[in-house]
Amino acid sequence: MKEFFIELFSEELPFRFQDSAKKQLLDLFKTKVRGLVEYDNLESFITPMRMVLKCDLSKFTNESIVEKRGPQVIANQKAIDGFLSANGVDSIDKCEIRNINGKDYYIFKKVIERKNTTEIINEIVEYILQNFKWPKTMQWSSKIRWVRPLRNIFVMFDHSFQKVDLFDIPSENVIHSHKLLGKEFTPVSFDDYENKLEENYAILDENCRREIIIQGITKLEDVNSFSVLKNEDLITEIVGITEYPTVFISSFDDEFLTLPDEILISFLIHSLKVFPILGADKKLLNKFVGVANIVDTTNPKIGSSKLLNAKLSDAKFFFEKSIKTPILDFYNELKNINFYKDLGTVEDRLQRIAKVACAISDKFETIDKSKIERISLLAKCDLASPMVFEYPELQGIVGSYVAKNQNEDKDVVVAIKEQYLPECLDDKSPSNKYSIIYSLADKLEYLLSFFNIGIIPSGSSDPLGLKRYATFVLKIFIDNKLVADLSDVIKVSADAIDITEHIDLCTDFIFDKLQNFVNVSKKYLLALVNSSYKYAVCDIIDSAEMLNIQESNENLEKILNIYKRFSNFATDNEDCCFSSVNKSLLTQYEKSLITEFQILSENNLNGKDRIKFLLDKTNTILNVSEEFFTNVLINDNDESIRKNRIIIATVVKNILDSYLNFSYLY
Amino acid sequence: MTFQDIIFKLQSYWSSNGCVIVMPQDQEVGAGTFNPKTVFSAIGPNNINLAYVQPSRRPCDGRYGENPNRVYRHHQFQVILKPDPKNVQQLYLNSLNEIGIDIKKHDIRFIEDDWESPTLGAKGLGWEVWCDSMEISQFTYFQKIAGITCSPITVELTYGLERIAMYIQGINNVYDILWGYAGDKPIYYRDLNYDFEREFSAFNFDYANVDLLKREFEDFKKEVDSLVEKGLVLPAYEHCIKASHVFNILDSRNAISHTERTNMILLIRSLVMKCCDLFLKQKGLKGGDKR
Repeated sequence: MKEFFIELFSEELPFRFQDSAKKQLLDLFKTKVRGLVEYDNLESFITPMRMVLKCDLSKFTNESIVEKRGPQVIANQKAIDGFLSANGVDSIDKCEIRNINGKDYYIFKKVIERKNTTEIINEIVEYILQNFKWPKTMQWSSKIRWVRPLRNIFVMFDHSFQKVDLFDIPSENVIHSHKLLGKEFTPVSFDDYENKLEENYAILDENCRREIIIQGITKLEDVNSFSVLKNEDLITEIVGITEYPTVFISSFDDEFLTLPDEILISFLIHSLKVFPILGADKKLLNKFVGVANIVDTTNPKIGSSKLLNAKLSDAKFFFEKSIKTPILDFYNELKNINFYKDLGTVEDRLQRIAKVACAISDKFETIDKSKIERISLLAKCDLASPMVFEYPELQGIVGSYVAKNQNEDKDVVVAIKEQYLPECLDDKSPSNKYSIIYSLADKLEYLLSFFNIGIIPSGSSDPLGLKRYATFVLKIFIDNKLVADLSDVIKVSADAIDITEHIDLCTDFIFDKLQNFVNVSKKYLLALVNSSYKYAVCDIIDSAEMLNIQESNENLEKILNIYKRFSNFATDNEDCCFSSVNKSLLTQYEKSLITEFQILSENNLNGKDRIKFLLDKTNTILNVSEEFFTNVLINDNDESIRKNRIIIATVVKNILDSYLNFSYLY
Repeated sequence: MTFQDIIFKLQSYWSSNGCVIVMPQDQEVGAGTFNPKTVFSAIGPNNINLAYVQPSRRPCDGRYGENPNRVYRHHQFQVILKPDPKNVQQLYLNSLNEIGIDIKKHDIRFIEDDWESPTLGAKGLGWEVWCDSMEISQFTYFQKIAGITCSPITVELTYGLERIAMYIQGINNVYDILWGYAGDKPIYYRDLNYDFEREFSAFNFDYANVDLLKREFEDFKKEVDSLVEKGLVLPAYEHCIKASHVFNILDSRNAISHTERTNMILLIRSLVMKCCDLFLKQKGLKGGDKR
C-alpha cells in the first residue's frame, strides 16, 4: 500500500456546507476508484481553506497482457503476414504456438499499456471536481464552478508530488498554510503535511479544533468559576471559520445587562459570534468568551469592549424603541408589507393563519379560542419593529417581550415566542398547547397557500423553504406525540381558507418528509401512511422501524403473497364485511378463515403494537389461507357461492389494508 | 492615520498593483457598484483594473447628524479587478497592512456573505471581512449584472472608509474622525459633513417634494427609453442612476407603498437591462441570450 492524499485549497468555504462536503469527498472517491485500485485507511478533513482526502492505495496496475489468437500454423503465408502486421509484430518467432481443440494456432501476447499513474490520478481528481454537488456555486477565472475559488490542487502519491492539469486551476508543489500567520512549504508525506500545517498555524482535523475551543473554554471556567453558554451551533460555526482557534475573554459595559437575557444572549451569539457567560448565581455577566483565528490575542483591539459597546448600544437603542411602541401600532404597518405575489400582504396572511388556527384547534386539546384570536393578531407584529428589522434572528423573541411588557396573557406571550420553533431538526418543538396550534397553523397555511398558486418544489432546490416547513409540521406532531389525523388537519386547514388546489399533493409532500426522521425503505412509510387505519404520525415512525427489521421482513413477505392472492378476486367495495356473507354456504375452510380474520379486524391496538399483532399472526394467516386456496374454488359455477367467496376475499383484503396498504409493498 | 491618508495609501497601493485610479461618478449613487465604470467593465469584453473613492448616498440611512454610526452619505473605496487575480485575497490583506492594520496582530475573518442588488439585477458571491469583529470590507465575485452572466469574472473589493477610519483611530463617533490637516489645523469629519448630514436628512425625510420626485421618476424613465433608442448608452445609464436616487428619496419620504416599491425596483432594473443590452450590442456581443 502506498500513501495518497489530495488537498483542494480554496478561499474560505462557507461553514454551513463543510460537513456534507467532507462526506461527499469520501463518497465520490469511493465511487470513482471502485475496481481501479484498492484502498485502506480512507479519511477526509476540512478547514475553511482546504478539503483533504487521505488513504493508502495499492499500486495502480499500469499494464495488462492481451492474448491475440492468430491463424493456424498451417495457414498460408498471406494470412500469417496479415496477422503480424495487424499487431505490429516483426517476426513470427515472437509468437508462440498453442494447441486449441486439436489444432495448432499462433498466439501473440500483446502488452497493452494502461494509463500511467499520473493519468489515473488526474482522472480521479477530475471525477471528484466534476461530480461534486454544492448547494451554491460560482464562477471565477477557471473552467469549473465551485463554491468558492479553488486556488491550488496538491496531490501526493507514494511520497511524490503529482501535478494535475484540470480546469485551469493551479497545481503547484506547495502548501499554503494559515493565511495571516503561516509560511508556504512542501511536504514529503501526509504526516509531514499535517505537522508542518500545524507548525504554520493550520490545524487540519476539525475535531482537534473543536477540542481546542472546548478545552479553552473549560479552562477559563475553572479559573474564573463561571459557566460559559457553550452554544453547539456557534462552536460548529467557529470550527468552520478558523484554522487556529484561540480562546480569549473580554467584557462589555454592564449597562447592557438591562437588556432581557434572551435578547442579549441571542445578540452575542448570532451577531457577535461570541459565547455569553453566566455567573455563579446563573445570571448573565458583562463578560464573554471569543475565539480568534490567530495565535496572539493580546492586542487590545481583539474583543475590544469599545467595539462591542458600540454594537450593543445600537441593539439597546432599537430594543427600547421597539418595546415602547404599542404593539398594535406595528400591526398597522404589516398592512403595507407585501407577503408574496398573488398571496397578498403580511396582514392578509395573518388573517389566513388565524382562520387555520381556529379551525384546527378542535382537533387538539380543549382551548380558549379567544386566546388563539389574540395570538393571531399579535404574533408577527414584531416584524415591523425596528429591532427585528435590524436583527431578523430575533423575530418572535422581541414580539414576546413587547407583548409581555404590555401585559398580554402568558399563553399569548409564549406562543408569540415559540411560533417559529422548530428551526432545525435538532431544535425543540413548541410545547405549550397554544404555541403548538399556532405554529402548525403558520406552517400549514404557508404550505397550502404556495401549493395553491402552483409553487411546488421539484428537485433539490427549495428557495421558499417549503421542504423545511413540511418537515417541521411532522416534527411538531412527533415531538408532542399528537394523535390527531394529520391528513384531516390539512384538509380542515385548506377548507378554512378556501384553498382548493393541490391539497392532496401538499399532503403527500408533507408525509414524504417522514424520511427525514427514520432510515427505512420508503415503501414501508407509504404502506403505513396509506393504510385505511389512521396511524398517528409518531406511531408511523416506530412502526416503520419495526417493519424494517429482518424478521419482520420475512413475515411481511409471506403476508404480502397471501394479500396478492386475495386481491386477485377482491372488489373495490371498502364497506364489505363478514356479516354480509351467507353463512349457510360456507365450508369449514371458509369458516376458519373468517374466524381468524375476524380476530384481526377486531383488534384495536395502535402503532407498532398493531403491526406486531399482525406479524405475530403470520403463521396463522398463512395456514388458514393456504387451506382455503387449496380446498376452495372461488370462481365456483354456482353464482351465489362465487359471490359469497368474492365477498370473503374482499373483506380479507380490506382487513389487511387496515394494517398496511400492501399495494405499496409489491 | 487620517481619513485622507487612508485614501492616499489605498490609492498608491492599488496603483502600484496594476490599477488605474479613476474619479468618482459625479452623481448621487446608492453604492459604489452603480458607477458605470464598474457596471460596464463587468459585462464588457475587456479586462481592466480600477480603483476609486465613491461617495454613496443612502437617504434612508440619514440620521440628522445625531447617530454616531450612521450617515446619509458615506465613502467607499472601490477596487475592480477583472479577471480575478489568483492571489486576490493576499493582495487585499496586504492593503490592510498598508493602512496600518498589521494582519498578524488582528483577528481577520472572511464571513460568508452573498451580495445582491435587485435594482441592478446583480448578484455575486463572497464575504464580509471582519477585523476584530468590525465589518470593514465586502469582497465579491460578480456573477451577474443586469441579469447578464459575467465572463470573465470581476472581483469587487469595497472598503467602508468611515468604519475603517473609526477603527484605526479608535473612536466611537463618525463625526470625530480626523479627516486631515490644513497646515497644522486638524480638520474633522464633523467640520466637513455635519451640516450636510443634518440638512439632507431634513430634505430626505421631511421636505423633499414628493410630487416633483414622482414626476421626475416618470421623466427619467422616458428619457432612458428615448436615449436607448438613439444608441446613447452612457447618458441612458446615468438617467437610470437618477431614477434610482429619486426612488431612494421617495422611499425615505415614506411616499411609496410596498407594492409600488417592488414595481419601481423592477422598473429600474428593466431600464438598466436595456442600457446593458444596448452596450453589449454595440460591442458586437449578445446580452439577452446570456440571461
